[in-house]
Amino acid sequence: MAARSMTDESIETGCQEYQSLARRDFVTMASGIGIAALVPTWLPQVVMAQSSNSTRDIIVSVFLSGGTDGMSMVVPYGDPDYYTGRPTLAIPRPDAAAGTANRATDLNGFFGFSPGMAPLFPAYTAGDLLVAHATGSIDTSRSHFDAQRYIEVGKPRDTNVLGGWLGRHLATSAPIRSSAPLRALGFTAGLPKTLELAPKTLPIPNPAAFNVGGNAATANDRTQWLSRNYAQATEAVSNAALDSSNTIALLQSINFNGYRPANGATYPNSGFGNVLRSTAALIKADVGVEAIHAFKGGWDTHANQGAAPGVDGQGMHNNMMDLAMSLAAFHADVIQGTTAYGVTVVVISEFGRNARENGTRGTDHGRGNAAFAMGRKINGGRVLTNSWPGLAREVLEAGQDLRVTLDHRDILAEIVQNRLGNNNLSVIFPDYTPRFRGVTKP
Amino acid sequence: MTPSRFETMDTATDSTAADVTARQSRRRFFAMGASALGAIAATSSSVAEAQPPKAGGRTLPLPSGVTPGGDVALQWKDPLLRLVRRASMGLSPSEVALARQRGYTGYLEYQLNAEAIDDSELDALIATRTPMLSMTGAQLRTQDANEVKSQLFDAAWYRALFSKRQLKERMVEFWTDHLNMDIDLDAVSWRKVLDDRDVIRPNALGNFRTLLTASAHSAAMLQYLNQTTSRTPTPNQNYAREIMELHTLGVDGGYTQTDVAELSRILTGWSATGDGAFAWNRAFHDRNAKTFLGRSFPAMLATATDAQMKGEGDLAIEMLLDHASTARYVSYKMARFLLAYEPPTAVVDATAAAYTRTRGDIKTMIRTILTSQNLSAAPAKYKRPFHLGISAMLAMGATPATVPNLRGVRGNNENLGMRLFRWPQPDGFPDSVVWWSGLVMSRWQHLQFLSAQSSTTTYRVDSMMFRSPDTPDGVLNQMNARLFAGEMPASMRSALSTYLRGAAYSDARVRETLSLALSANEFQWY
Repeated sequence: MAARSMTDESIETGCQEYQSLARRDFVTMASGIGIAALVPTWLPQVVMAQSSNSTRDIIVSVFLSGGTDGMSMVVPYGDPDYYTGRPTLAIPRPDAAAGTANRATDLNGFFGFSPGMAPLFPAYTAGDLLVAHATGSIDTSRSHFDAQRYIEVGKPRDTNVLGGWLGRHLATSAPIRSSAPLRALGFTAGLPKTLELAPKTLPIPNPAAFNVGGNAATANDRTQWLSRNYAQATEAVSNAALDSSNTIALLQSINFNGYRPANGATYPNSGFGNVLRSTAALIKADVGVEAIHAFKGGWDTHANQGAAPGVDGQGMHNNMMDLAMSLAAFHADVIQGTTAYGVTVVVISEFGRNARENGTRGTDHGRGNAAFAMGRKINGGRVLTNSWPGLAREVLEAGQDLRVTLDHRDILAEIVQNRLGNNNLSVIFPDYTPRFRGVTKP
Repeated sequence: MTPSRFETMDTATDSTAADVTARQSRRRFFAMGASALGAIAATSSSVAEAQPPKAGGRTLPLPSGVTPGGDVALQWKDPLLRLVRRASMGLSPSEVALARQRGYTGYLEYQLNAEAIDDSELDALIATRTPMLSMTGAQLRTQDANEVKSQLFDAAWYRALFSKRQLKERMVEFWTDHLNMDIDLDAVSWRKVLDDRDVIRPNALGNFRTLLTASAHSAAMLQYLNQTTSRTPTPNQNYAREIMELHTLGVDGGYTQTDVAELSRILTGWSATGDGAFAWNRAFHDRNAKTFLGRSFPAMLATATDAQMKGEGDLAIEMLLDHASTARYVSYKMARFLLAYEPPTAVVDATAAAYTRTRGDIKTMIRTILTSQNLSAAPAKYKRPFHLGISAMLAMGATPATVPNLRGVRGNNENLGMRLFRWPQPDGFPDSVVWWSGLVMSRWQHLQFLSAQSSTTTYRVDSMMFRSPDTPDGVLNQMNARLFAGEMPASMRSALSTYLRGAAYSDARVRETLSLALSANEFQWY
């Protein structure tokens, strides 16, 4: 009963904008169900962030699943304990003796990019790429699934928070374009937690092939039949069906396969490269998609990590190269290119890995990690830390891990408020007071 | 016992950051999820919702105050059909007839006692079409790994389609997720054939203790989670963590990071041979004293026997299997898989009690979950892509003769995001409507693809089965019988009729109508 009265209240007082959106859906559907059935019952009382100004960015959210070894990406070469804890896996200093293989590329006199991240050096020197370090979640479980879930949710260790941080951002902001049939997508087989609760949002693994198939002459009739059939389904399923039907024409209007990047950018012909390439095509088509979420896995490097060329099969090096070259292409093509809206990219992982290598030439689950933000209005070209906690054994968390001194929500919240134009931070990151740390530029 | 997972972050050094204005949090909104769902569960099943142990992060309640599938289940009047939906891969006419002949308890017992079912036709088909599955590890490792994997995938499909042991195949799916590994890793690869054949399948309806113990000796599992190379003094914690978090206790089951580290030391030496057999590697074992879950493991002399050293791991696994958290966690997951996304607390408790009482007897646990009373109160569950594809083919009368080669079908189904044996994380494919329901377009594509198949060398749907008698009404009657066992809602029949009669009657129109019936919301649930 409590749930019912709350539902009524939020419909009555909370969401005029939402009702009008729902009404459009309703008219489109032309079926006999009431508006109340289409208004999300969970929507809180918020002042919807307004749209249609050019200061609001499109966001691209990348989750590196598996727990990246941030110290093999952004090497703290200025900390001698890094080399003590990793006698065989450490990346050499930028100023190591001439002829030393796989030296880091210096960023600021203390940190350096490993060879696999070096393709991002131009974005860094252009001032568009911000690197954060010793960052992460206050969740100490070191469980992939818990750590990832709560980063996606936006509040650690609270099973009562509904949806994901990006989903709640979209739910509490007016669409960037009011008529957009699709506001957000995940390049995923299922809806990622990060986007849960977002209106007009779908998992779309391949936007170039989004239709019901079969005889093209009857495809529209069949789609309409299915839209009507699903109108009576329960919420999660019916919304997905409705949004899908409305998205077909949108995606068919975009030439994904023939997309030509700007500024001579070349995306790697890899899964992640193609995701960012399709993301670029979507953004430049300017169809109102304002949030894109993607995963890139393969970072759970317990053994034979291979974070440098020629080392242990160089598995992590190859993964970093794919990541960095894809992001570098996106930087040249989109960030430095011409788009109707600004674009901000955030790249995070669930946790870092042990400061000390294990006995199988790998690293086990750890804590503090590197994270990245990229955009024209990102205050980049520097490495952001909230004081480097150090890698001496006595200061490591649980005797093994880089401590987290910079909550990842500080980075995300500043982007949400300053780049996505949404002040509802208490809804997006509940019970947390973020500190803005100069992640964004005016 | 469990320490706080929170740590206060040191922000004292931060003097330049600007504080953002704190805003009043709307706690009542965020607190709503569990209580609202609890209220709904109470009205539908008269008991409170179970507080779900957290597994893999994707088994949380739906983000809204609705019971998924509750609407569809309202159309399901016959308790026996509810049982067939849960205990099989789909409502094929032959399975429904078998259930009607045996009755509720008789059918459930028939499926539970799978070893008594004559499945020799399927066994012959598997031996013919997927001969690599009977190879030894020494043979498998020399074969083309891609072909080995393909035969394992094929076999999973053939068995789900054609095995008479339908409940066993459902449970194989469950345990394959529970003890998940990614076959695309070289460390797993052909070894998963052995794990599937010798660990999962023989124990799917047996005893959880036997199953978990076999898994702990499975080369595929030990390789997958880096156990085989874990050695003192720098053990690898991967398997030690996941056997507790995912296989037994659950993430909140009462262990600490210290327990992870200690168990990783206890398990040093558990390894595998190159041919995929378990191996004990004495040189890797940590003989120093350990404390695991409060129990002391005294230091050992260098002269200790292999049995004594390896026995530390056996004892630790016994402790996990005896643990109340394991009883509850495994029972919750099983009830979620077989009964409802939010299984009633009373059912989970009863199943956990059955686990404890019988020391892990899976049949007894299933009997506790799949009662007529429980099923009658349960909302429907959303078919995952594999289940959806199999159930559609069963509804369209697939036989070994009409599916000479299913690789094209299998590949098309993989567009739905459930590439069998290739979920990359150790938690297994999500058992969640939120995860799967977004991909409706791919499902519609797949079901259209299936309904249009007419190849005599790969897969053909015999549409004459539906055109009997060969009139619109005849087709609609057949769809009601074959897809819904007679429980197709009248409104759906009416809508299908409108589409079928919307153009000249033809085989193509019949197949399109069939694709709509399969794609309809009503067919997505079980």
